[in-house]
Amino acid sequence: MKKLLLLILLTLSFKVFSYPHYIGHGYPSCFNCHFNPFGGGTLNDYGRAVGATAMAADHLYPSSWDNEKVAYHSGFLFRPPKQKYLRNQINYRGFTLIRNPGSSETEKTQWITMQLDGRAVLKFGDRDQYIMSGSISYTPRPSSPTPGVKDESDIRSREYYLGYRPTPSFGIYAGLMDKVFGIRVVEHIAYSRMLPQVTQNDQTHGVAFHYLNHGWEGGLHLFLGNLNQEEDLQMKGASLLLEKTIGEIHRVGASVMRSENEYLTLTAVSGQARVSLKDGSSVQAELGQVMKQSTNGLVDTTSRYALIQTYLKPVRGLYLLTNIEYLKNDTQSDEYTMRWGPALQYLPIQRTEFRVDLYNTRNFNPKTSVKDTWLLMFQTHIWL
Amino acid sequence: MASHVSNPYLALVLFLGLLFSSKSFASVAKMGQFIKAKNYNAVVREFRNDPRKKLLLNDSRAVMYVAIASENLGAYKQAYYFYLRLLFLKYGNYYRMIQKKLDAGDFIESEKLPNALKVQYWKIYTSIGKHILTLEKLNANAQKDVEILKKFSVILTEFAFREDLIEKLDSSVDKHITELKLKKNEFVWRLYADIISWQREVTISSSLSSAELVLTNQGICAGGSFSFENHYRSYFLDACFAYGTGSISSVSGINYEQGGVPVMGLKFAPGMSFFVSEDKAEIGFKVPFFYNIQELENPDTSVYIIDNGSDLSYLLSLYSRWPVKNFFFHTEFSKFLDQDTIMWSFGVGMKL
Repeated sequence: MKKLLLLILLTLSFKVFSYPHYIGHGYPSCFNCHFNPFGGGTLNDYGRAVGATAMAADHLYPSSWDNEKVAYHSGFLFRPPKQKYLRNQINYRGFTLIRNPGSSETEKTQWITMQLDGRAVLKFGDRDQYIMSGSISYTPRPSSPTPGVKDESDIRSREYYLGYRPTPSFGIYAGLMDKVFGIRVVEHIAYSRMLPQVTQNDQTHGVAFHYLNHGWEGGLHLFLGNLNQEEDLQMKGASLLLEKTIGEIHRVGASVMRSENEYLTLTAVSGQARVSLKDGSSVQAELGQVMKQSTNGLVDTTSRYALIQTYLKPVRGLYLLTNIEYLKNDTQSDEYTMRWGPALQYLPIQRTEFRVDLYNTRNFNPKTSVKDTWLLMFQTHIWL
Repeated sequence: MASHVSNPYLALVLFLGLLFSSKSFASVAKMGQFIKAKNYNAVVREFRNDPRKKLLLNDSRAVMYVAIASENLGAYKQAYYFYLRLLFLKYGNYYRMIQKKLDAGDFIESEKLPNALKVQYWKIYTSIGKHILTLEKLNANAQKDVEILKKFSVILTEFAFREDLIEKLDSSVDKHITELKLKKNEFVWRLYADIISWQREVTISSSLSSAELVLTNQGICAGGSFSFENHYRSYFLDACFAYGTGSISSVSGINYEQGGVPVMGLKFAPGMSFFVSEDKAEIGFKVPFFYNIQELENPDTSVYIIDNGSDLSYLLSLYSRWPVKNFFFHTEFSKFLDQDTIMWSFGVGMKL
């Protein structure tokens, strides 16, 4: 039975997003808290404890509980792990999406389950230098199906890989992973994730190399495309990400990526910065350009995007953030779009996150004007 | 004795001396009784009302009673003065000797000093320490008090007397002084330049129909702010001059479209904010008044009327700022109070 459970857990997985703004808490690298050094995926024990003791509020605990006790209960199913080899996580994220709130004519509300998943990480070695990570999730099929995937199921895996770190500063990871590019923000509708095709369903099979020392962090990702897709659609290529630590708490960096299939060649470059204002407050920015060239020449475009994401932590567990996004779909055109989104993120207790996002999208055209569009999201995120 | 009495002047001095001392003793005895009864106000009253205060100031018992009473009444600065006076009265020689050694940087053989002397220094030190802890503002006198405290802290440390308690009080005073510094208000000027955009609903109407138009403006808003702030919060006045262009189109009905319409405006906003991080990241509210001038082209004044509302509008803003040294990035997200439309801005600036 235990073997069966282990087998199930190994095939289970989930996709959890990373929070690069935690640089404001003094964590410039995702590797501090995640098994995947580029962020996302399973939290390690330290990440769970940090999430419980520094990120989430503490007012719902009994007054006799100190941070040590809170951290003690941060393990899977509220217990510290009894062995060092297996780590699990169960995760749920869903939200109510309201389009054009307040409009009697166009308001539309829907509940979306983004993920309900389980995952497991097996780790071995005195430094946990060998890892196997996998996730499987119930994820409703997107309204527009993933191109080239036949009989797309509600149950699928977005991440599974093997990892080996011969030294603490260098690691190799092979499997299905997110592409290594730009700031891996949680907002999968961000232009900075959609344009370079590094959003929630853009994982790829490949090999990623990770390097980290006190001054630098970088990654090289060689990928073959998502092998679940039809072969002619698989985006093969490579990406490179480099970040330098400035003043011990800030990061500046750049990314480049080139990928292609039989129909499209995509080249993306970006510059990025993450500035810590300490006590959980931070500003992060990414500016990028994406060139798409099709073999038939019909969709050759160069697009440009920018993202500024600001975080303020008035009290422990509560974050006020603003997403300011810029999109120029075609650099030859005069039109562009700005999306402005104030949001509130509240983690009342460890493993629980509530978030309200308001998005105002405004199009700019020198000749015409259209009404702003609005999105309101109430998000619930629970993990065990 | 007979020779003394034979001198009438000396006899007068002796008589007056006896008279005053007997009166003084009576007063001091009363103070003692009040101290026993813990009637500290009465001790101070007795001292103040005594016409021979100057004489009492030379009576170590009287001085001690007033010091104890002042301390118990929470008048720590007064207690400090009286304990200091008591030190001079009772241990003047020791005081001068210790001061000399400290000035010369010599070692003080504290084990040879009487314990009562050390207690006397301790009383002075704690009185001034407690006084500092009651201060609500940091001024020049407070700075002097801190220097006095440090001086006595050094002496008591040399004595190796109650070192743990000294460390505790020193630390409390340091914390309190830091807190007072953080609460200290200052005036701050800032300059900034923002990218700004706002949308307004406009109506075009004729005798037959009317239609809604939407006007989207974008531009630059350059200005400054003047704030009265401490480490925790800020009250400010903020103003910027906006210049840009807008485009306008009909949402439905009458077909109307115009692009590149110049717009100028002045945004003036009182507001308040809170600092939420060590580096003074800030969040707050503003109530902007926005005056703007924009001439929209009227297709035919005899048929159509364009109503773009008042030139002056009011908004409510959520405002935040992230400083990096003297520079900052800030954002503002505002709702027009007369329409369901939005103004936003973000930009960079510097503290002067």
